Amino acid sequence: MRSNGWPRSSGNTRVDTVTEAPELEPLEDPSSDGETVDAFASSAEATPAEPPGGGMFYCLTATVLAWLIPGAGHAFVGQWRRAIVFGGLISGLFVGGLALDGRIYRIEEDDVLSYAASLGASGVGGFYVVGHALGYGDGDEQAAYHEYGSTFTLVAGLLNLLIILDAFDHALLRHHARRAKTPAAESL
Amino acid sequence: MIHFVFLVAFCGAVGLVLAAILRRGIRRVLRLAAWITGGLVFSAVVLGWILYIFPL
Repeated sequence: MRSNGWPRSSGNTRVDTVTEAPELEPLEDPSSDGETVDAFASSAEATPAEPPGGGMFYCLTATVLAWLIPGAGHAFVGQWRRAIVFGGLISGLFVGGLALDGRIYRIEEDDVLSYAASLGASGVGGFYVVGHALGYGDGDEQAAYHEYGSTFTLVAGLLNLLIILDAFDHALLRHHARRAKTPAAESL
Repeated sequence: MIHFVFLVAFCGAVGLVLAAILRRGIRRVLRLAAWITGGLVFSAVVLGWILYIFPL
């Protein structure tokens, strides 16, 4: 009888052929150049400390902070380097836009596009409120770089919306890491 | 000239923010930021030349 490669059993005899499964290597990003250490992570990020709050409250706090002050959400979850980069860039874009006599978009009833523009510009949060409160909202339409400045303030808000989502994502990841470390934290 | 400086500054800020969101590690962030910045500046210049032939 020709062998077909499978272990043969005789009658009701159970054949337990245990084969050692090869140990799988962890997947690696093909675009990676071998770096696995997050250089943007601070020491607190590498070993997450116990977050002051728990669950959704913790994530929402990071989100609201990221909206109020660009970079504050990442600082709240312990990512100080990202917080500095984001805070500096968004603040620079927004303040630079105001320095170029740009406007801060607001809702105007006769302009449908102003709804979308003001929604995007309001992503920068505290700067948006303070800028309007201080009277910088209208800019100077006669200035040479008025359009540039308006684009800077608008894009600062749009980019901060992405940063807010990233802060929420990191807060959620850190919360899950905390839950995995301490199962009792599931009740939070 | 000052317009090009504003363009590069704007593209650099956008590229750095997007790269910091998408990548981990300073070297990889800077590499992607350079690609995004270069792509945006190149696209803007090419688009500017294309639009140059259309009278407004």
